[in-house]
Amino acid sequence: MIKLTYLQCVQWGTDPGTALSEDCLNMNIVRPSGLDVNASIPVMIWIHGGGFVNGAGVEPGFNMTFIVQQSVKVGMPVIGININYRLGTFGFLSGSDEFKDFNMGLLDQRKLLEWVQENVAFFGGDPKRVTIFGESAGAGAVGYQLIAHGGRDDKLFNGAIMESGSPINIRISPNKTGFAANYNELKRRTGCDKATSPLECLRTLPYQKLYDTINESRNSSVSLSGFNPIIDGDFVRKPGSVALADGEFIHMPIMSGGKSSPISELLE
Amino acid sequence: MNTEEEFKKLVIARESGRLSEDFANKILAEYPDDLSVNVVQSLGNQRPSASYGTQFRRSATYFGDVSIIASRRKTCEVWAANNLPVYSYRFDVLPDGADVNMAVTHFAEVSFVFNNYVGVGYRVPPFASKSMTEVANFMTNSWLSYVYHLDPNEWRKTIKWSGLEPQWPVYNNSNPTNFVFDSNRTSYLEPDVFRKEAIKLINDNTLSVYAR
Repeated sequence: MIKLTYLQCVQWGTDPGTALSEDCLNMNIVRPSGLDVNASIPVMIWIHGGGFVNGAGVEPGFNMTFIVQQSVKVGMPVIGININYRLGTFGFLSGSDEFKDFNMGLLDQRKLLEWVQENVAFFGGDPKRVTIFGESAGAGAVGYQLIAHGGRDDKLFNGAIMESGSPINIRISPNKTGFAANYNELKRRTGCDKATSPLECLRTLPYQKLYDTINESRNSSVSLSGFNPIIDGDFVRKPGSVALADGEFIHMPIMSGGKSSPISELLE
Repeated sequence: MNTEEEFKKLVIARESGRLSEDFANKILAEYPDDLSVNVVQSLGNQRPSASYGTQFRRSATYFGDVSIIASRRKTCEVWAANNLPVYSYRFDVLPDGADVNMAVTHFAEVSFVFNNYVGVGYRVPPFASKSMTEVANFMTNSWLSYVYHLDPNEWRKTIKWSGLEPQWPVYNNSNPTNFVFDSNRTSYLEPDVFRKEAIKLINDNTLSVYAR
């Protein structure tokens, strides 16, 4: 079994298991042992779930060792890749007119997909045969990649599998200030509300101070870590249901599924 | 959750002012307290243990549809309407170590797709029996086949398959079909028409009520 390495993106609310870091844009690549670098075999990229606020590609249950092992056994060898992307406050902070950049966590995913295009051949992978797959918010993320930029096909992947998620299933704020209440509370708790530029103030806060402030506010009625994707007019142009109705998605074969009782654990 | 009134309150509260009293009444009618149709079918006509509340299976059915199932069906319909292949499935294997009250819930199929027969990352290895391991292998192979051929059936043309599972058809809107992964019997096909009117009510109001 391949031991997964690297740090998880900053998150709150669950025991992260391993160390957190701001410097988390990494991936694990599992390839069949002894693979010829000229083999040019297909690639599977897992996008983890966790409501866009927690989770990591390096969770033990997402170890690609066994899927790669099985792929060799049945004569369909693949390279398995697991990516991280920024989450919550670090990945999706928004809520005022100060912001120029949105949905950084989704852009992280896109950037990592581009990296795979440029580099996977050096590992023996075929950049023209890449399937992205994910579960829950990871499937929602696959959905966002399908409708990104109005459904523009940047040829980053040719297959998409959504396990309990879709371009539609994530509730999304219709405007750029949908998280204003969360942002205002974050400013207040950090003292950045008194700064000339609160966003610049937040950016220059020491990491530990920002982390601790959010952590100490875990029971606040307004979440300081629960930032999620929004309609930004560029990467995410429309709510998923509208994008699909307007045909603004990459037209490719997909797989899409769910469980028999998918949400019951949330109702305890 | 023990009363219809509590369920109704939550139905309204979850949508932050977009879901009216009238609409909530329609939801209550479409999602009756009927154990013969509500999720967690493995419990038959029983309610889960008391701590879950008597309305648990009813609310789980509704919220599961709102958050996952309705949009899965809608996505399939859109793909099919655009003449694009989409393969739809329902996973119905209860992993070892899972809570019978919650049945086949979120996250359940991940260990199967990942062929995680060692159980890395799980308190209890999620599958061990022969029949469950066969489902895991079948799923992993189907996923790999999609990666190779954009078709989860293609691998079965090789000698590595000798199962009885039906071909997994492309979804089409005149005969919508799910492939159901099961370990108590051979996996099978089902018409994707369960809770048809209820899910249609959700899907007809995706943006205005559910902000999706």
